Amino acid sequence: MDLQAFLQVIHSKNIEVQCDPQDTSCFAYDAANLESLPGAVVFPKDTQEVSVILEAANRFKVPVTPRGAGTSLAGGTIGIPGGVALNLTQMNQIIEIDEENLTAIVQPGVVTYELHQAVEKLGLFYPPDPGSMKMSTIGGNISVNAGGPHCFKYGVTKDYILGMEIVLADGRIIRFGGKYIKNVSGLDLGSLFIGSEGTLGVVTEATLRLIPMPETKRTILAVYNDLDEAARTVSDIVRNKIVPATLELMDQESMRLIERIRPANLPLDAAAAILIAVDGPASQVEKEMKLVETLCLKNGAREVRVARDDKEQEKLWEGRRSANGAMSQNCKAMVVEDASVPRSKLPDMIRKCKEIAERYHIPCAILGHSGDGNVHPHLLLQELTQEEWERADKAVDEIFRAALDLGGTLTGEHGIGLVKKKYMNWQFSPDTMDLMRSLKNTLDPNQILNRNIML
Amino acid sequence: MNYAEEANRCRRCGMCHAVCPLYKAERREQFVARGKVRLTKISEEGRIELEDRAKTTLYNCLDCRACMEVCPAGVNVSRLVKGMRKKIYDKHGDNLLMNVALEHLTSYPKRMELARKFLKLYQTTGLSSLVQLVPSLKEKEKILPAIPKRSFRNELKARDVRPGKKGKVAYFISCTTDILYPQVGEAVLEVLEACGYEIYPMNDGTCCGVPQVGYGHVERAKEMALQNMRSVPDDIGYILNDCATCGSALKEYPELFEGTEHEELAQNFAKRVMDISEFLIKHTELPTGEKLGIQVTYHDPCHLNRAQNVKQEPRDIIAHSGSELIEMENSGQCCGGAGTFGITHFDLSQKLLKQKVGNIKATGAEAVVTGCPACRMQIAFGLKSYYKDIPVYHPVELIARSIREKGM
Repeated sequence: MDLQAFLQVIHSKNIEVQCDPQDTSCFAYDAANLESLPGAVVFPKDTQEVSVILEAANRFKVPVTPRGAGTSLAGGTIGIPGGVALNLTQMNQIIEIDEENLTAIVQPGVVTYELHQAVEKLGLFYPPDPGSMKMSTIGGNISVNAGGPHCFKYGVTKDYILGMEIVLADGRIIRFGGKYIKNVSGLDLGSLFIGSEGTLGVVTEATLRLIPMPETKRTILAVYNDLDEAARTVSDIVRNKIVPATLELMDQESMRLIERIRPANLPLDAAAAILIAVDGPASQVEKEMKLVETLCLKNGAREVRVARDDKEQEKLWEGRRSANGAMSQNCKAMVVEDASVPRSKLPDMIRKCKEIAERYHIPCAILGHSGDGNVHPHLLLQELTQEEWERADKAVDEIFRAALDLGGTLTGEHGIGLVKKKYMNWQFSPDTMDLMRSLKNTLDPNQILNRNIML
Repeated sequence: MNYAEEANRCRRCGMCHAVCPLYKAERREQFVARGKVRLTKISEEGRIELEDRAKTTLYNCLDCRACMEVCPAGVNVSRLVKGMRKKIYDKHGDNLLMNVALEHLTSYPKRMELARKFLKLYQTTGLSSLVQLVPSLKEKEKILPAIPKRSFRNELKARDVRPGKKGKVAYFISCTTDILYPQVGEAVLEVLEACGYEIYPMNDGTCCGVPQVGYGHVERAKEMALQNMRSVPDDIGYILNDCATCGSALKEYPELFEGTEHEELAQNFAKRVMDISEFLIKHTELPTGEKLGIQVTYHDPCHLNRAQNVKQEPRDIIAHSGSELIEMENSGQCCGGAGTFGITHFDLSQKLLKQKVGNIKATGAEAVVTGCPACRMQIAFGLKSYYKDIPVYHPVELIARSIREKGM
């Protein structure tokens, strides 16, 4: 690695760069419990600058870690110490919203929520809504193929990417896709890059698919004494051909913590509650809501609360949204995991997580997207001793073992990053791993991009 | 406060990104709380020295506390930033100009009166048009409003204290009310008297100490705090003020004296401090005057809205004056004034001010109301520069006017 030679190029091209540790230390972390101090942080303002940066990095063998808002829970922006952090937040323009073709063209640094606001003003809808959407960027969302509560009904980020501009590890700029829905021309490169966690290239522009905003949305909270009853409800709803916009599950511990900071009359002795939102044309939503209510009660819900207006709806969601804060206030550090299992196995997975956490004496609160089988166990560390971290590590090992045993996957939406890398061999055969690595080597033979991440 | 422990509570979730006005304008991590909390952490852990670059980062903060409102872990970012500024000041000191201003000028009301006279002279003699020839000062110079003929402290001297049936309340005289907006102090007095209170003006008090704390001159701030605390008799139940920033500073005196012999004194003082709008709504029967019938919009000062959790009372006052409130979008976003920030970070400050003025303009209101003289100065400047010269009032001025118009 010849950082000095790299920097000479950067300076000569007048690209904004910071090298003082007083600055670079502000780019040494993300939301995972890890850190690594970059030797330099670069702030490109356009695709050409990204290209210059990567060409120089490749020439001087300097490792590069692309970075958006730095909200990865998997350590996806924790680079090689002394390497380069490629900060893409200056490229935050929504270049175009095309109401005729229902598309948007954006730069990678656009904040997901800002895109939501911009398209919603026009009556349009960009459904991916990861928990961190108020700060996360589209570039980061594409890197981990982010989901969120909406994805059970509306799909994940991948389903909304029509085209991309990507700078490869050696600085070459490629483009594919565009403002068309049907496209089978050539290999599907989108699938290769989406979810590749910045290991194969840097997204510098994306063409996104938009859909019309659903006319109306209604919410129900159903409370259960038994996890299986909650799960049965979800299956029953799906069997009745209703696809709710969201199906969010909170376990007993989550409700207990939420009640402590934001009392919303959540029952503390219930095993679980699910927040069900139905959206669509008003007449249809009305009909579906009635059916959902009936199905909840039929499957053993001990209480069903229907939000009658926007205000009540907002109140129900407020509790769910304060979950993260409630958990933060009850621990010194938090380990948030992200396993996904077949929908039918969700209760088994939740029980397994609780059993494991109990065995390792770590308080654990669980939130889940019960429509798509994605579970987020939050391990709440209390002491931060070496011993406690080791216990947490072992618990996490077992949680992933359990997810894989149930036919699941290591990560639903957070990405492998640095923290789940060691489990890759558990999920994939040596041949599969070899294929992934050979793709990486073809696109980035010098291991410039995110060499420590995922593979 | 144990700064390392406080900083370590940060989960680095980035929620602060979503609300920080400076981050939204600049999109670099140094501008947001998370970056500053990180600097605090590694500085307290002895892993880094806070030199020029860190100082730049730590001064890129409005102390608007939007981050604290959304922080899931409840990190007290304001205290961490002030703590690190103190650490830098203690090690490196300050430049001559700041030393003179903070140690020898703003903390002495009499010298401030001289400064006021100088400024008045400066504005009336045409010296100001000379200064405007200096390009770097041309715009900044206009932030200063027209200096009034007499300071509020001087007005007070010429005024009788009327006894009231309801008892005595203390009134803290903020520097901005004193020097720039004596009409606000006058309105406070009128309304309190109309409500039946006798006012005990804190004539022996001084500046609240916010500029000193903000620049790390904490020892000087403590001396000033002691002077203020000792200037109010123990038997007065409420210490009222009309400046959002002063009010929050007075309430935060216990932080200055944490773990010292004066902690109890500070706590006893702080718990009696109350913003004038909150007091009028909660503790008085506000006389109903003439309906003003004007359409106004309200700007929530950061240090009233978030630092003191006073949101509804100023709005109630507006309603009580018979004015119509048209809410602006983002009424709680910082106007960019933030003490001296508007001068030291002029361009960045103007970005925020333009957003604020845009939101005001969209309401079509004929006047702006805000409970902080520093916001008032900034917004008035913004209105003149980017919209039109509509008036800016303190909520209490509306009540005073409605009482006056009814001839009560």
